Amino acid sequence: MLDALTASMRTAASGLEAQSMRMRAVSENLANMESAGATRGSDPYRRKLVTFEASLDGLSGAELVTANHIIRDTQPFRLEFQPGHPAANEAGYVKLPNVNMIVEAADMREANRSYEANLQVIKQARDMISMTIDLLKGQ
Amino acid sequence: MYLFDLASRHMTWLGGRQAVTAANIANADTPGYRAKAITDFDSVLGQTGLGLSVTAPGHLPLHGETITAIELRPGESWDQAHSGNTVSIESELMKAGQTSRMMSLDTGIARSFHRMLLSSLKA
Repeated sequence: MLDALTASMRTAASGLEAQSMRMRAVSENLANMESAGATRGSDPYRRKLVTFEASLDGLSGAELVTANHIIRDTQPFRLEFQPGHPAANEAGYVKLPNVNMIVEAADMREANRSYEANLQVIKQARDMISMTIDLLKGQ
Repeated sequence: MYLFDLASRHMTWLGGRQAVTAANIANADTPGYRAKAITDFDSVLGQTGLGLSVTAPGHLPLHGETITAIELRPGESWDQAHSGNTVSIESELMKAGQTSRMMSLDTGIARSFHRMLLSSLKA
């Protein structure tokens, strides 16, 4: 069993990890915004989503957050008329990834905000620990 | 010295409070997560002396004072997301700042009290 302040730092660290996982999914989505298929009528890149889940660390008793489930967005693909494209279907339409840049930007901003909040918790817990250690220094 | 005991117990409580705040902030985006709050220091203080004493090796250690986290009631949280998450990062950060300030007050009091004791010894 850890003391509560160390446990809170561990919790915040799991939050940092979860948010960076989310950031990774966002960057993969943005990088693959135009990744259409290469063969006739093939499917393009499908948007990735990260889901969060609360979990308990049995060893320390700290309540953590995990983001290990990456799921695919089931929204329909964008269609664009490009008859010359290698992935175009019979009608001349190309399926493009279901990635919306504005949604990704909003998600990125949100991840940034949560990351900052978790960092703030780590800073404050560290300050509290050093305040307690400073008690030993006397004068 | 009662004051040292009080300061140490208050600091234990503050540590628990910070852990609960950290769990809330880490789960600020978890769907369906309900924000938690810690029991008041008053009630933790009231529990002292009620712990069971351990007299045989087979007895499980029971801590006299238990700090428990309880879920916030619907009206108590600042906002609720569509997923049912009731964590508000702003209020949690405010709480974390408050906890840190209280810790600084506690350590300050303990330090000056310690200095008082030392000065009476030196004289």
